[in-house]
Amino acid sequence: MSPRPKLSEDCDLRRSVHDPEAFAQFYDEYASGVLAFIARRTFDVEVARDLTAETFAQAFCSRRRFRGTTDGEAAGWLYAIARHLLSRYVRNGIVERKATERLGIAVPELVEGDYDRVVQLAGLAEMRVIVSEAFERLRPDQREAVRLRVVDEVPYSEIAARLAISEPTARARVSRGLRQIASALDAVPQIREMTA
Amino acid sequence: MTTPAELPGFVTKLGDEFSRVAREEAMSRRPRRRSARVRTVVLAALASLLLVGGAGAATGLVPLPGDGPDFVAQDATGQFSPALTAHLSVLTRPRSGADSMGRAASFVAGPDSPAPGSSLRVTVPPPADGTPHASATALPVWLLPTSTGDVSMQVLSPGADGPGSGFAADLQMVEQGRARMSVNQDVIGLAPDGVRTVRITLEGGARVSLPVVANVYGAHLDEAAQGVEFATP
Repeated sequence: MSPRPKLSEDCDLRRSVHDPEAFAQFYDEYASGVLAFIARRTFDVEVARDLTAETFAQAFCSRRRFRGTTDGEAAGWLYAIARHLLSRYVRNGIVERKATERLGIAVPELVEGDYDRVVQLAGLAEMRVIVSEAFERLRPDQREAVRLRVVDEVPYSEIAARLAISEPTARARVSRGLRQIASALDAVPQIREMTA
Repeated sequence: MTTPAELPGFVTKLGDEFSRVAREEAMSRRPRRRSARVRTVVLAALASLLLVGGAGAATGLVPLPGDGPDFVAQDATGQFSPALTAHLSVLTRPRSGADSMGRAASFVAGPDSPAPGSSLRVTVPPPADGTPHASATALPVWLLPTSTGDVSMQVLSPGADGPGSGFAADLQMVEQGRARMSVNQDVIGLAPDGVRTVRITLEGGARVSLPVVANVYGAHLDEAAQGVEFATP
């Protein structure tokens, strides 16, 4: 039986609109999850720290516009912010800090042990092994296309020229290769749960 | 299971920072006590306004419940940039009640969540009858202005009342055909004025032509989309 959703008055994010200090409870509840979510997609501890800070800062600034009533909806809203920031980071290569700067949040420095703890929290070591093995199992032509596109960041037109194939074929090889790697991750229940 | 003791140190310190910011906001909201003399002057001023200007004039001076230093939304979304509206006529269409995102708006990411009346519900035109590899998409689609004037496209799963997918694009991305998104095997995108048809290259190399109506195109495809070309008249 699924747990009963909290009523609106019990939802920390909703409550923080009139009682800002409830936001600290909201942060405590979701900080490690958001950090792991971002770390698994960036493989970069510093970027994960900065985007986690920005995610919560944007949630704090925008919490009056949250119209859900349960913790589940609040979590969905928070992760939508995280996904949005991630997509901007992937597209532009820039970590956004608008809300953290507006609030005057001092993003803490990483100290000894933080890297290892994030790696452990996000299960990055396990993911690296699975990705590496799946990469090695790709067909040689797909592996080369994925290496050129993902590792060397070569444009598709150049991949096509280097491999003497058409650009649609180059895209197809990369796409199929990445899908196979994703399937390998998806086949491991713990990873599937972590990346959902 | 991760215990708090295993959390990276910066997570706790960051939590302290949010606690501090929240405390400061809570402090700034508490009403300041006025001296009896000041209270008298304020009451007299309000009373005279009520007498002279009527109740309507006085209402504007009386804080409403919930007002405070943060009453004005700091993240209010802007409008579409003039460059975008000049090339995407759909953005200038007058809004109606049917354009509202309703509860779905609460799932749009933070600062880009829609200001009331800013969302546009758009219709994705179906492919022409008999188009191979493509059928009409069932995804509901909205366009919103972001805080920087770009256009944000938000797509929810049919019937879902939860987070969907979205992207934001500026004019350059629209003109380059990069203002598009794939949700599983559905593709939805924007094309500038003057573009009537787009040609989608599927993963296996097949090509599909889709109509563009009011700057929007899209379809459910047999395979994932790999590339888009605009067919201009």
